[in-house]
Amino acid sequence: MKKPIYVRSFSAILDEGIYSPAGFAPWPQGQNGIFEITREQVLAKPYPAFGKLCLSDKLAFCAASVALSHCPVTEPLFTGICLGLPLGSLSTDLRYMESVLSAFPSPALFSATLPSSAIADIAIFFGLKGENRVFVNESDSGYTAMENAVRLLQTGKCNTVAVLYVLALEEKDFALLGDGNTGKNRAYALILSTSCDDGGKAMALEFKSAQPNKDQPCDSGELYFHSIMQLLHTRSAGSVPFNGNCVAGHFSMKKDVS
Amino acid sequence: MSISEAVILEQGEILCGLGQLQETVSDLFENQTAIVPGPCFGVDVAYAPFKNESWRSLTTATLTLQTATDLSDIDQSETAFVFCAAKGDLTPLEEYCISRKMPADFSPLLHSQARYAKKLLGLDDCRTIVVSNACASGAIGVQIAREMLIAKTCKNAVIFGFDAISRFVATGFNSLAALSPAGAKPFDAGRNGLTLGDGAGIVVLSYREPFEDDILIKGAASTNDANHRTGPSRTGEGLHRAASAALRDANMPPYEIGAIKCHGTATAYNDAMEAKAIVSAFGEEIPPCFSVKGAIGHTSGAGSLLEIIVAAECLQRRKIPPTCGFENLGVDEQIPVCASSQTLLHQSMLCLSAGFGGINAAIVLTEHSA
Repeated sequence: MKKPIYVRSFSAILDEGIYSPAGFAPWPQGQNGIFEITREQVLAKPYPAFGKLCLSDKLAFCAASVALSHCPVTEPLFTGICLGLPLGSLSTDLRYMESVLSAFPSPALFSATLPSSAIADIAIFFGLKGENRVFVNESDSGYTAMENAVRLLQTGKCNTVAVLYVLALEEKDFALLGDGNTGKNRAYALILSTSCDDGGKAMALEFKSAQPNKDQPCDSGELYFHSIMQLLHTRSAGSVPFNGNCVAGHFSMKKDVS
Repeated sequence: MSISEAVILEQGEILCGLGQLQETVSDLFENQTAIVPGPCFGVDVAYAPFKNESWRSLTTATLTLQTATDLSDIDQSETAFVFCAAKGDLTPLEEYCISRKMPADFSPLLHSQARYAKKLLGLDDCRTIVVSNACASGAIGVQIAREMLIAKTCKNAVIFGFDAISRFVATGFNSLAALSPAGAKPFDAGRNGLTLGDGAGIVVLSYREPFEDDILIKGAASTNDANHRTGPSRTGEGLHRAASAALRDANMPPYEIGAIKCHGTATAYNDAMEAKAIVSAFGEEIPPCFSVKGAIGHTSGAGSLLEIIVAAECLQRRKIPPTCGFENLGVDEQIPVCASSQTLLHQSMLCLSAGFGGINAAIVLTEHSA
């Protein structure tokens, strides 16, 4: 029998501000949104490395911090991280290569060019020592991260998983991706767990795979994750389908579970 | 009652030194000298092996492996294509940074490389999963594929590991002072860093009742050190937990492991940490340990897949390859590192991997006997 899965917490860091179980906090006037996000806006405790993080690592860390601040980790050895990072660490790759061409390759930048560096600071700060997965799929990295997290929970390899979806690129680099790109950075986090002691605050999550429809255009990875977050923000029951990349399925949410 | 397992259907040759030197798995068992082409010893920062030829190494690797691997019978609608790389082929990105001109049909992202490789392999209709867990990418790709097979998300998985040496990667490791000027000597007293290598390999997995002598992916696990961005935990605790979890997943006691395929990069900290992890997991009865990085170099994210292929060969040949470059033990723990080929006494292997971001991965392979 499949284990039940609950969404214990969430966050969304978007153009307009930060969404969390506590509500919506718009960016203060004068702040250039995501690009000027501060540690104090996402985390109560100091973290000296925060200012040195590259954009994708910083957004992943911020999204995880907001979500985890509403859902403390109780079993770090069995808490995993599944990250969807469709753009990888492209901006950092470009900055590192510029440092190479200037004849002074930066070791700090080089270590941040690995997509997995985005999970390192989350693991270090929150002490998360469970399974790790980094997906850099094109359109479905968020879907794949969610699907993988559900599998880790249902097989008992983890009892909590932080699922992250991060789209991060420095402003000047968006032109590299062509006309179809919206040029908007964003980061989402969901804390999924097999246990629920939140007094009815958590939402139950069900996942079902489906037969992909090749005649339909591929769904947008960002819109898919955004739809899930909207259900969580409004505490609405609903189902979010995904179709694309030879895969299909949907995540359904039910409210008021206890 | 029959019990299905994740079975290796195909494990082809491994490619090392792409475009320059292609060596087979057999060389690892027969030769005791390094087969790394060695362009990065001492790193020349002007080194750019495939300049102005975008994705030449990816093309070479994919077409060569396609020739060596029979993928014709695969039902693509039931197959996942799992592309595993730390950075893949970065030469187009390097060219862009130098010229500031975007090559036609160019995307600098890893999933573009995966799509390109999938097309060359004739697997257009497979679902694609792109895994980038640093130097443990290949091992975690195998773990993900196995979990998908068990969950019946797919019936087959083609796991493709690929990473090429580029100016980007070579200067990066050099900036971290991680490269050896003399060549990698895993676990040796005189070790002073790693040797970079190009690498690619394919493993095809299926989920079915195993036949006699089939190689099975019997257990898998990953952990995070939660300790440091690039360096391994000094205690080896994270790798120890990964190894123990993989053994539990395989439902196998440590004494049934015939050999340990170590991550064995030949850096001071990795090998010291790994020796501690092995002692913690195995106690006093430690099976023979080896690393192939002295022979084929550190092939980044592809490396852990290539080394799983080598481990599968160990099981089939009942032989453990030598640890090229190893002469005298240079870690505090008394682990039995193989300096020369040995007979494999048990039909199971443990494969260990680690990567930047604090990631550890462990895979248990077993040769099936009815």
